[in-house]
Amino acid sequence: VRSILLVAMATLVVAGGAHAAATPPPRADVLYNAGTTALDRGDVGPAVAFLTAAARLEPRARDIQVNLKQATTAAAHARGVESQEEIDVPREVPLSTAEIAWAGAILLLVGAGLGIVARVTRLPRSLAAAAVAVVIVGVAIHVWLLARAHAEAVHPEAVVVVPQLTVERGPDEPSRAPVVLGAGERVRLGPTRGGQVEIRVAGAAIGWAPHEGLWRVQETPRYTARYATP
Amino acid sequence: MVKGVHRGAVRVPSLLLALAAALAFVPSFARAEQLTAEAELDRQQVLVGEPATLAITITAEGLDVPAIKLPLIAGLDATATEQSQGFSWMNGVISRSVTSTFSLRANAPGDYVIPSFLIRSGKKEAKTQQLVLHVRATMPRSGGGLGGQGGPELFARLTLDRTRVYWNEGVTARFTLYTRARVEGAPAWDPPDAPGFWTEVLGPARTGRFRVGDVEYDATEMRVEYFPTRTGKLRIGPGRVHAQVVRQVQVPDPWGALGMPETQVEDIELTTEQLAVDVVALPKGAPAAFRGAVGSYDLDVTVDRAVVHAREPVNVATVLKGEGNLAAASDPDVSSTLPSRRYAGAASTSLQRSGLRLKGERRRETSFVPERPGSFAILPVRFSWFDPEQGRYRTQVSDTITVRVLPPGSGSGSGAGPAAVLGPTAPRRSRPGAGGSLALVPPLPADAVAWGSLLAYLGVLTGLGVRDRSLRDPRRKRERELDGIARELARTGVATPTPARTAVLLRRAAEVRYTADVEGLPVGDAAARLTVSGMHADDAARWKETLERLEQLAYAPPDARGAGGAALQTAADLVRRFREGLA
Repeated sequence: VRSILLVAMATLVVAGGAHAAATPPPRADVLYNAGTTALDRGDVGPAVAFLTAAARLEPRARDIQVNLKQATTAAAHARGVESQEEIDVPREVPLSTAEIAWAGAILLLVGAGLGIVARVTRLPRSLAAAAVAVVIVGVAIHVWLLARAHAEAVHPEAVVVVPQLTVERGPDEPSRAPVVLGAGERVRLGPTRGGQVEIRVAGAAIGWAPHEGLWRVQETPRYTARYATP
Repeated sequence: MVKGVHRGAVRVPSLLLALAAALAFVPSFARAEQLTAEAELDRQQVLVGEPATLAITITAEGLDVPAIKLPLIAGLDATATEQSQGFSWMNGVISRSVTSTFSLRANAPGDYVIPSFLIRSGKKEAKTQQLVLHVRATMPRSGGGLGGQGGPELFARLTLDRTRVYWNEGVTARFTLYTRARVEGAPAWDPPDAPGFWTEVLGPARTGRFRVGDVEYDATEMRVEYFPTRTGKLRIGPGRVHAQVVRQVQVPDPWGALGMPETQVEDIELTTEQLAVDVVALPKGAPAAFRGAVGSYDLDVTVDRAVVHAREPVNVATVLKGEGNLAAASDPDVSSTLPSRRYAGAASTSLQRSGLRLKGERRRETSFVPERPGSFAILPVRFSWFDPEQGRYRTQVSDTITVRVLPPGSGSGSGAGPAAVLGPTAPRRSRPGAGGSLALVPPLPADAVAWGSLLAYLGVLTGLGVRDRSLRDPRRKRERELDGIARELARTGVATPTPARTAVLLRRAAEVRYTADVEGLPVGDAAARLTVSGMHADDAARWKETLERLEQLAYAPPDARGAGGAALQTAADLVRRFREGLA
């Protein structure tokens, strides 16, 4: 037991050091200010992209949510959607990835500690069962986070930043009518072929479009200089 | 073409109703917000052996549509010919349509009912219309033809999908050349006479091989849709077709050309008969927005931006889609609440001529240029048309669209137009915000804590489990006891076991090693039992001798015990041998 705890602590120290030594991560205020500037300029596509990225870091920040809703609504209006019911503002979990990860980690730590104590000192069975339950919840949270990160790595979320993006069928795919996406629409991306990238909506591929018309949400910090606050 | 219309007497085959009642398409697990189903026959009347095409179209909002499975229809042979799919995604709503076509063929004359089919997708249901296919037995020698054995070699035929229509309702005419002779090149149809009609040819001529009665023909068919422009009894046809027929001629000299028959190309002109169409006037009570459109239509109105700077244009597009004479349909009026410059563009019409009916889209853009900041509204756009299938006028009205006008300014970078900001935006921040990864990857320390805790927990559980199992193992238990005895015998100084204690330990060690109960037995009997339990005879003798020596020492006076060191050493050796033997 002592050896395992020592290895775990050493891993934690090394991981923490490596994390701190990495490049500075993107900041929510920079993304938010860029998104607000884009919104003021009427660039609804970039505004939705920046603010979506900012909301990933600070999901409960009211100013980010207000401007993201404004940008999404403006983008929908620009596409000709007038009815408020038809404007889809995605609702996310009000916790950032780091917060969810730490919550899961603490649950696992507490559950594992309680479980070990219960096993060694013969605590009541109810406490041992509670420890197992807490461990299961913590594992479930982390497995969900891993699955979400994998989905983002394989099919990253992107936002249309050009007024109109025509999504057409691939060269080997059956004939179907092209789909026209408007600025600010959120999609997922598939594999890239030449200058084209596969567009996915609701888990299904709907065709291919030039990748210049889309910004990946996780790459939005590259574009903040274009919308620097005056 | 017939769409859900009863005409003439209907003979329902006996089992057909039961089949129709039991009929349902395979349900889909996909969620469908809206579900529509439509069945169409390409012709109402055919001859025995001649195929008719049944097209079933299912449209569903959702990713999947139910599978189309045509049931048995008594008296009709049905063969699936093709399936086409359509896909659209509009404002986050995905809709798909699947059209399956079936070739129907009857072997006996009669009126065949194609029942309505119930289609389910989730909790939604839709039904197709009931259709009737009239199958006739007589040969179709309308128009001119050339005789031959077993039926004519060539004949031309004109059929109409309906003979009584409303004004401006489409009538599809099929001019078909049937031939059993060899035809050089493609037959050429003259434009058929049809005074009083607006004419639209439906795609290039189609060819196929059909069985008419007992005879197989190659057929070349031209489809034309006629839209009557006046009421009364109008006539279509005759249609004229020119073909070059290759004929074999009898050679006068049987020795010439080695007796091979010669061929000769003959120019043939055939004419179809003339058919009458009864064109009735539209019913009274047309709405004010009606301008003569007859058919099945759908209106869509879009504005390219909801917020605009003053003196910049707002483009309003009206798009009419559907079946009917779109080229002659009038565009609906588009107006606004604000006096502003207004420019109406020319209408563009695109027609699809490949289907069974003329379909298409008519689009016109109207631009408004507001002069001053504020807001104005695009008033509801009304479009009325007459639906001949339902026999009534229908009107579609769009919503009012509000456009906000900002003071004149520069355009946007992305070209999407100014943001349609409906409320106040939050101000920019000056304080720093949170940092982190946008890749949705959990932080490494949190991962390390989580998985480290899990590993530690699993490791402890595993280790304790292994230990418990080990404690419960009888062999390991015996090994541990022998180790304890050996450790006690190895003590020196004041902790050195007494001869009496050593004797007890030696007896216990033998019991543990050979799992024999020798407690309380005389030494000789004990050695004999140990031998039976597996102790080697030499060891048994040595054990007995050592034990007797130890028991003697235990009861000897203290000054006589000094020579007992050898017995203690022998006992320790024996215990070590027992331990090694157990391992």
